[in-house]
Amino acid sequence: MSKLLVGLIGQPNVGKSTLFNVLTKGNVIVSNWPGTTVERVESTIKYKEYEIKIVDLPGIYGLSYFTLEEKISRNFIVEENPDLLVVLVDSLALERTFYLAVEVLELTSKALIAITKVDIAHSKGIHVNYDLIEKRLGVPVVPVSAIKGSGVEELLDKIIEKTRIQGRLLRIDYGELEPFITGIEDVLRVDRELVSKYPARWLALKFLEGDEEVEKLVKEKLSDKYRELVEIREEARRRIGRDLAAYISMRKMHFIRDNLLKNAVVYARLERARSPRIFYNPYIAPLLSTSIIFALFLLVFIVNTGYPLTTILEHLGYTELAVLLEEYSLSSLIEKLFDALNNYIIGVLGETPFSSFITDGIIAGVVSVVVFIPLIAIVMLALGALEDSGLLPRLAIGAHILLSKFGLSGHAILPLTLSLGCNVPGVMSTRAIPNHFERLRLILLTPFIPCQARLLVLLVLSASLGGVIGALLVPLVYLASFLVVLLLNYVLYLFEKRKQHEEVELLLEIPPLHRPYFKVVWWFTWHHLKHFLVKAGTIIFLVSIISWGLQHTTPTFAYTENPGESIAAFISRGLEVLLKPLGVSGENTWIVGYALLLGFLAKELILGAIVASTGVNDPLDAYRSLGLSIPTSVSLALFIALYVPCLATIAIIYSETKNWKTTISTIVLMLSTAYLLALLAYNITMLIPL
Amino acid sequence: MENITSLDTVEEGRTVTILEIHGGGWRRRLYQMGILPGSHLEVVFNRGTGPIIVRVGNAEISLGRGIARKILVKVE
Ligand SMILES: Nc1nc2c(ncn2[C@@H]2O[C@H](COP(=O)(O)OP(=O)(O)OP(=O)(O)O)[C@@H](O)[C@H]2O)c(=O)[nH]1
Ligand SMILES: [Mg+2]
Repeated sequence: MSKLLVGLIGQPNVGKSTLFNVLTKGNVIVSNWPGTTVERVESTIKYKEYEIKIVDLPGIYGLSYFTLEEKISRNFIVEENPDLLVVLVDSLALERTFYLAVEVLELTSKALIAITKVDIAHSKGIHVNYDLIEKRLGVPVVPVSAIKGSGVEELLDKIIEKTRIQGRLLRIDYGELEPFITGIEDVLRVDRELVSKYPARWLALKFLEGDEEVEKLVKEKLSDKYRELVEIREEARRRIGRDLAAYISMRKMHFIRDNLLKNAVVYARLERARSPRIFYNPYIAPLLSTSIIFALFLLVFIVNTGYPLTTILEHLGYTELAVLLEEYSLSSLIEKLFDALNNYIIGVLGETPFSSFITDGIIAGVVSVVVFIPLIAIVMLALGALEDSGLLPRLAIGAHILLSKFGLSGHAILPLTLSLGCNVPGVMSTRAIPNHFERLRLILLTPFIPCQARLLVLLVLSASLGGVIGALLVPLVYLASFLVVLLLNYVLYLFEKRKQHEEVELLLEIPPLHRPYFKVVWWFTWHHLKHFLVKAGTIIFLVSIISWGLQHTTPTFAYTENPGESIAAFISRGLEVLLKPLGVSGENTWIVGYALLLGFLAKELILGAIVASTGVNDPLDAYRSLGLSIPTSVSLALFIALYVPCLATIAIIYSETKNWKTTISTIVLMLSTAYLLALLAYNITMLIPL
Repeated sequence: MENITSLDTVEEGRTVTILEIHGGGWRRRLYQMGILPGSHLEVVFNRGTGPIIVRVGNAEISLGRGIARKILVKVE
């Protein structure tokens, strides 16, 4: 079996990840937002007698060495020397997306073109003469629709076929610049090693453009000739009379428009897909954006817990209907299942330390997380549909108007909404943010956005409160965390404004709206569910077992039935000083402290810790049995939403910043903000007569 | 002379030709997206505040006003 390394490369949003998922039966995140994939993802498949390793690369607009994504892609081509690059070109935006293809074909001949989304192109009356383009480019051109699955086998066959044929580099006429290109090439050819790794003409072009990486390379390898090269470039600039990078880009665009695509594309209907303009309106758009996200979340809550619909129905006098709705909401159905399981185990094993280990250790920890899977699934289906529809980039326009008052741009919408699912992809997606300082601020602040794990705890707290406060708690906590992000960002922005003068700006392509594809939404959902299940099966499982041990061992290392005299309780009592101002006192204080300590590792552990410590099976009843006052519950809810999300998020903050000082400052910032606001919330709620 | 202006002041519905792009880190990215000297744009949306929307070829792109101010165009 021979092995092949194949990279998928293309401009943002052309459909690389979709094709990757179809080829490899994978589930990387697909979203109708330019710049979703920020890190390479790979997977190996078997096709005919080949073992093909396919790499999904981040979307890039060109092959300069400007952004992190461009570096990842260019290093892949140059360092890993793939057998073939599949360059994806979007049939709905041929002119622009061919730009990258042309740049790639100037760098390597081991490539072929896949024209994507042909299903909608055809229905929009766009017809492409693929053979003609193929002839003009000199590499195979394959139409595919990853969504419909058409052309995928042909693509694989062409990939294999193409790796056997030697091709030629694409040669574009750069007009007046040609003599200078040749001049530089001649100088470069002295270094044989250099020109065997990169095509000389490509190096010359990049040198003329002022590409930092090529500049460094040339300076290092040809230090004695460097001055001569710079002089040629100066001469070229005088002759052309404008920025050379602009001139080179212009010639490329000319080539695409007037040579490559001329008479090869027919637009049968002249109607152009226009976006609904309402999303562009500077006054309506911000309102519309926030309402859509809010409505989405409301829907999810109603499906899951029945409220606030139940509360409204009760107030209108439809008590029976409200009870019925609550009875058949997902979370109450799950609670019933949970009870039955525990009773069954105790019934079979009797009340022994072993059955305690199973029910309080494993079931309390793992099952109290796993039972929330339907909830997670529904939130993810909703978020996935939002991602795939193309609404997000439109929300970014409206949000930009609002956010720019606080020193953020519309680009922040992607990390913020992804964080509603899980902070880890949220923090990672900040890479696509062009402004470096804005990106850093978002890495520090997006973890304030409550993820799914925190939502579970919030839902239990709000259900325990019931009534109007219960119904309002979750939306208020979300609102509070968004405000915290905005305000803290503004403060940091003011500090750094003295250092840099560049304004936060929006530069985002607005892809066409479409009805979400079930396949894509399912990938999104499954991607997150899998992560959740793996977490439940590993860290939650392990910590639950250790935690059971801590709760059943006394400080003198004897077994105990009463968690109140265990090591866990002993350690957690140290937190009493801090919990007292929030109104937590009495003999259950340690349970709250202990739950919060475990919550530092992962928020899902909070519920399990309370269940195991109280010995009450159901998370809601367990929490109620703590007998905490309303103001205390409110302040705990806020604290849980805002303090350090989990170890995984800390790890990703470190890996994205590579800076311990920043990582530790984030932890300190989160803990202190959470505590101060919880204190504030406690005292304000105390004032409200309830 | 008066039909040469910066992109942020162009009325909705107008088509423009780009003459020059000034300044900063955005320039390279704009070129790659097809917004470069000599290309034609249609201003799809511009209400005096908030991002403006332009159409390049078949795609719509939203631009912050700060960027648009640095793009010098000729209104057709
Ligand atoms: N109709 C149709 N839509 C598609 C097809 N392939 C992708 N899409 C849509 O195009 C959008 C972008 O797809 P992605 O696969 O995330 O694009 P990408 O190239 O990975 O984008 P980045 O990661 O942002 O660079 C999604 O909304 C998909 O649903 C296709 O074959 N047909
Ligand atoms: Mg992608």
